[in-house]
Amino acid sequence: MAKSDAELVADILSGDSQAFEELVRRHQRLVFNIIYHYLGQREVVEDLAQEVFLKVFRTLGTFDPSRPLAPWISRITANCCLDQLRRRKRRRVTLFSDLSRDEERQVEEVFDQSVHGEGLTVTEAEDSLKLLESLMGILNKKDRMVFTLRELEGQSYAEIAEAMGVSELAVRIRVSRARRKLQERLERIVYKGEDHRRGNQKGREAK
Amino acid sequence: MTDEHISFPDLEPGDQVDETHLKGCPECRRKWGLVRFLRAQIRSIPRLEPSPFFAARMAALIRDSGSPFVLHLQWAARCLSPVFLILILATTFLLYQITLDGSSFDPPMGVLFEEPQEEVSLDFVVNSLLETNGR
Repeated sequence: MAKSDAELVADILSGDSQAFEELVRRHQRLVFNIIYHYLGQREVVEDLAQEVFLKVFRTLGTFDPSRPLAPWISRITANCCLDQLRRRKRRRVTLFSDLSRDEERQVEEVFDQSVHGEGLTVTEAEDSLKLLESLMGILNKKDRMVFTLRELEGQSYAEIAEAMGVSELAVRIRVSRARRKLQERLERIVYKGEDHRRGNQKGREAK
Repeated sequence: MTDEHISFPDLEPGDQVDETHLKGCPECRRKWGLVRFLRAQIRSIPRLEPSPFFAARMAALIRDSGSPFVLHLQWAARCLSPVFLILILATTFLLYQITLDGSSFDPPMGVLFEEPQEEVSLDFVVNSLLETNGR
């Protein structure tokens, strides 16, 4: 029978490295995807995941075994991602640039297809992430993390509250604010383009 | 149908939307289109599968670095913290008792500073009082 997380933690603390391997295997998907969806860069995922699990190992002695392990690991992952973002900012590298005119045009096209075409079509999977990242560039770091955990990782409000060390209400407010900002940003891109096209069409008709 | 606009940011993926309101409200219809588009984009985002060797590599890394002393120290501190707490409480209580009941701990040096007391008899007191009243 598979051991519980609390049993694994006890085994690791008594020096069992096999138990640590099992713990990593159990939670690696969670860690990888939080990093990938938050930072949007495949190249950094494995290095950062390694940093996360080293931190997990080093601080395992402070973990309360009566509580669930996944939110605790999510919390460490979130902190590592925020640190990574801070480091990048210090090096003046912008990860989430604004959408270029070409990208905005691509969004408009995809949106047009999805609204006026047959059902909802989406961009290629990687493009969706790129598009979403660019849109999420307007969110602050914590709103972005909460949004990632909720919408992309499908975690409950209670789980996110535990992982971020805030109340459930604070999480709800952050998620709602993030959704509103993203919707407004998308609306500006999509309808600005539509207004522009309408203007061109009217101009051509007048000629 | 309600006249109020739908609050889309508070709408969870499984929530029902008031279709009658949507039919009669172009603004909400427009926003609903954006929400559905965003959701579709989110759904299509790929999930990463970690390499099958990642966990084994992590375990090897930990094994190579040796079992850190800090980890055991943290664990010991966590286990022993209730014992420390009880010890601190017991010491505080004992010190409090000592200061409260100081008489039971007379310092032996006090004897050196004790002043000799003159013995006063009852007769002496009565006579002194009578003398004072007589004046």
